Amino acid sequence: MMLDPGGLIATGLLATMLVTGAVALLVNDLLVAAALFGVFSFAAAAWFAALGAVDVAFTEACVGGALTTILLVAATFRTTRRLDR
Amino acid sequence: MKARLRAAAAALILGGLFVGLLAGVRDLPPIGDPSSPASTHVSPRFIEEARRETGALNMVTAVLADYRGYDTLGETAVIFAAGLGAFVILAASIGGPRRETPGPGLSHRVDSLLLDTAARVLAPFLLLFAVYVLVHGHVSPGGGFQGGVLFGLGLVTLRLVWGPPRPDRAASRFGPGVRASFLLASAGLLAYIAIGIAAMAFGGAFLDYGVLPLGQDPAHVRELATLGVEAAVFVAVSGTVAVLFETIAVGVAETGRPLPNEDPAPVEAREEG
Amino acid sequence: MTPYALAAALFTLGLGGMVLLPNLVRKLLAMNVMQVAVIVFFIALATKDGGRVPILEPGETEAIAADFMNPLPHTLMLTAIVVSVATTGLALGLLIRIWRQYGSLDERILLSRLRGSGDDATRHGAGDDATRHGAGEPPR
Repeated sequence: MMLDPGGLIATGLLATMLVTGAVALLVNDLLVAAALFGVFSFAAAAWFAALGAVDVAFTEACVGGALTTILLVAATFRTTRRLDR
Repeated sequence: MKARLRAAAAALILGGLFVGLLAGVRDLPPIGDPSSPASTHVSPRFIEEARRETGALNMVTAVLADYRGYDTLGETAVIFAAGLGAFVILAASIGGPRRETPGPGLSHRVDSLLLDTAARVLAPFLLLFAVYVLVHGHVSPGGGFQGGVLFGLGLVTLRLVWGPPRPDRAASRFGPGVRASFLLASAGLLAYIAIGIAAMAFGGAFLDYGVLPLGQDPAHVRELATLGVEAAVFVAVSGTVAVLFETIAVGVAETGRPLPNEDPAPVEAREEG
Repeated sequence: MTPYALAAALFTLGLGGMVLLPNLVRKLLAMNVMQVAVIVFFIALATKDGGRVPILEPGETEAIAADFMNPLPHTLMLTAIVVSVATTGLALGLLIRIWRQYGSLDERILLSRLRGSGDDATRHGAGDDATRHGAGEPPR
């Protein structure tokens, strides 16, 4: 049983991705941006799972939601979270 | 004025790109069409024969580690190279005249009962689950990459909470350091290559697992060899995750030689705001 | 149509962010958004109406191609995700190195500092440090 790709939940997840992706790129604090990128990746993973790509969803959740976000936060700690420098 | 012109031009170009992409996808077959070209050419064979030929119930694992094993080998090499690259980039910058005080990184030990307890509870399950994901990759979602990342993240969890050297015990730290992580990563990559060469030694092509003398049933042999390949990927990926975390979050060894001809750059000291 | 349209929107967002945003970390995030857009496109391509997750039940031996999602794009995108984290890790290493060397992650400040220090003739020939523009200006 699979979700309809054009259905409400799948479209809602895609809209979440669009919103969090855009806000992550525009927010004024890189730490917040990293956290929002985690949300973005998680929505992407949920969407992949909803469309039957369970392996891809698993990988995206591990890699995008956890590892990339951890590395971004860590790099932010070693550089700066501000945008004006 | 110039800035406004640039913004307008950028909006125009990006809008044009968006409209172009929309126009492009209109000609694609509708989503979910089982007779679209993407679903009728190579993949039916993978779907229908994977069970018989490779013994794997999970077709993605079968395609990843068996049918497209060469691709996966290249990918493992890519992530190993990325870990190596991050290490070299950061290690080479250390030791010369230090004009920037880098941020502290995540190398401060946090003496928090909450974190300590959480790590004690979480980490064993995380590490065990990673191994489960690896060995169960044939019959459920998962495999070497996911398991490797999870295992690496388990090591990172421990490293974050317990890891860094304490003032009283300068050398002590938990988890593999950069050196051990590199050993892990390269061992995984070399094991993958070794499996490929072993297939050649028994008369097959590179990464042609079916010829390995592991049993009578060729599907079972390929299943075992696929598991071996996934394990190699697991080791390589978890090593690389640890390397990336060590270099990016913690910082590599604070000793080293200055780069030759390093230009004494004119950057003023950074004031933390 | 909807997933394709949103993949196109995400791709445009990512590309625009990479080109227009001056901060290097934001550029990196935009690159990741662009990668996810491509993955969304491929996964949407792999779906089949009434298709199952491409994993057989333990007792099942026969499979009909029309009943399962296409596993090939799934495999390719799994590869792409793992490569994307490798790219991100390498890029973050470079960003930390840039921060150490030049004290900034903003493209505009970096360019002015690079122009300031790369002008060797001015620095060594005339010995006039004051002519090096950009090097001494406060970062904000």
